[in-house]
Amino acid sequence: MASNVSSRVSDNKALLSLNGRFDFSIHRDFRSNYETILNTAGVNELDVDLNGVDYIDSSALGMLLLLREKATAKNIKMTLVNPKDSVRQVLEVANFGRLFSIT
Amino acid sequence: MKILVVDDSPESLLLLKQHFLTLGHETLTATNGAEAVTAYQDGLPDLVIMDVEMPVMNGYQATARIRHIDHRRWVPILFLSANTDDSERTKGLEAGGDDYLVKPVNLFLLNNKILALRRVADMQEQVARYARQLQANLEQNRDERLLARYLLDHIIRQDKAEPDLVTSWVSPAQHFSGDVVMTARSPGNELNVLLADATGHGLSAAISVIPVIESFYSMTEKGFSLASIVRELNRKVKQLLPIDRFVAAAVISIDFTNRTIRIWNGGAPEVFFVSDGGNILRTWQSTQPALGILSDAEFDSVPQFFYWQEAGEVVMCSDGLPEAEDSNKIPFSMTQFKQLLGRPYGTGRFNLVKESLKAHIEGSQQLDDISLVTVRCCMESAAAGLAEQSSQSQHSADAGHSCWRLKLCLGAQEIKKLDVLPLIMNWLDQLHIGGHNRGQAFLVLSELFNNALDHGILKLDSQFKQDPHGFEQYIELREARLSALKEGTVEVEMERLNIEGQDRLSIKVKDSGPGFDFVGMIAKRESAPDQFSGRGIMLVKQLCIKLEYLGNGNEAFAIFSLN
Repeated sequence: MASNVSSRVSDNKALLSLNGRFDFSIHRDFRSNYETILNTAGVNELDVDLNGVDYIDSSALGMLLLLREKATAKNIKMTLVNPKDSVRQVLEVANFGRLFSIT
Repeated sequence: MKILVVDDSPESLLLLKQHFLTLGHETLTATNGAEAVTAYQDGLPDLVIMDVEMPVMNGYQATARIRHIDHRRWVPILFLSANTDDSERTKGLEAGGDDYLVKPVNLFLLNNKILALRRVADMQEQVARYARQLQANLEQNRDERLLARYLLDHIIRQDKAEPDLVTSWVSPAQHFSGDVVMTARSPGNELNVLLADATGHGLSAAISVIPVIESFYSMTEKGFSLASIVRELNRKVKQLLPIDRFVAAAVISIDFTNRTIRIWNGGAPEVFFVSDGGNILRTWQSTQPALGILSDAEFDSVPQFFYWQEAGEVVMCSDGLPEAEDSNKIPFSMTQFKQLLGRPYGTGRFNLVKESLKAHIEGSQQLDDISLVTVRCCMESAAAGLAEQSSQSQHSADAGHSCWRLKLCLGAQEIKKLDVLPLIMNWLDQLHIGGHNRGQAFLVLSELFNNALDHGILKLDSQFKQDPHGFEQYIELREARLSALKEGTVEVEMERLNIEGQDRLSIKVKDSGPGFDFVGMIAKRESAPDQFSGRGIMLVKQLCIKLEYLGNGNEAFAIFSLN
């Protein structure tokens, strides 16, 4: 399965990049990556890069909600970045624009 | 370790026995194959050292017998033989032996062979333990699944299904569906239909949707408005499920008498109204996040509104339908779905969608639950009328002597906040107004109360409603004025009385508004029965023995018969 999660932190900014299918099958990788980010001192911005994602399902939306909750608790501003049109549509139907900033 | 040593030579036997003893093993002995089989059965050794040439039964035969004895564990058998021929070794392995050692025995080599066989035996034992555990888990899992299946099959009340009006198809991705379609009737006989799709699929999704089910049924039956029902569902899902779990839902409430549809869509795909000619007359996008995401304060439960002027169907689906992939990972798509809906009613468009989708996913794994629902909205109000509330208590035979009076005065704050009708209906339930009477009381009460509120307090002009398009504006204006309401009162008085031996219920609704020209309205209505406004009040007139307006028309008084 071509699906992976990677993360990078530089100064106060963290980037969490997702690729391929974003569904429950990657939740372990997803969690270990965001835990690293949340445990890094000084991070106050988190961009979740969705550009490489070509499919997103409802459990993935749930994973994003969970991350949002955890980021908010640590005063980290979370942004969903660059979704492809098909993914953007799913986010729109879910009205995630009201919950996340999406760029 | 317990070792069975089999040899017809007493010297060899003694030698091996002594050797194993010094190594700290326990030994069993046998001097021929037949004895070996018996000793094996009785002593349950961990390892067998078997001579080949023996009287009565040779080592190969004994090994074959031993291998036939059903034991849950694997016991290694090591042959000892003076014969160095390869074909002899092969014979030994074929008979079920595990290794072969040439006589005279090199004890150092024997020790190493035993250690190696022991390692294999340990591994074998571990595998067997896992297999037993797995088997036990599978059986437990099957039992739990059967129970869950039973529960889920019974919690969705098939007796409430409306086969004449509602057609639905749910295809789960696994044993359980996280998609659920429910229907229920309000006391005023509005039809509520809910399509709920919980996060993910399988049993975890099916469990997540349970909190929604009971609330939907009970609140609908109590006469709560769609907005109140949806708000409660959101509150419940939010309270009971973890943050990453939610329930996307499309909920509709259909009033067949007034040909109106209220709809709330949170996180579900577009809902359509498709005319009988196959035109999509209206599309409702998801305007809210799914149930269980927002807090009560953030949540917006205000429904969208539609008045149908030609017969058609409301069509709803879960996201599993447009997203269903074929073997090349191409989704079924909303475009294709809409195209298939563009056929006239009565040409089997529901089945067409269903069969096309089945053909589409043929040969690929279904990743999500798929559901499709259509609800028929016709021009005749055949589907309207009064609901038989089977779940309500029976009207008792000696109720003729029952007398009570109930008066409720509501100020602006209460009018804004309360869902007044279910509140009163709850009292009526306690007062045993059941069966046929319950629906009748609800209809009369809701009509009189809504008139008092809309025209008396909110001063909405019913002329608006003459134009079907105006109806939607009317609803918007109503919401706006209600939320800005500062003053006004509505009084509701109900009395159960005995008039000339007859059991009667009177309902009086009085508002603080300026009143209206009741006589003129009735006359107009009777001369033009197809007109939209006033349809409700005509129904009340038919249901009641007496309906009159007092004062300036700001006080309505109705009496109907309890039977």
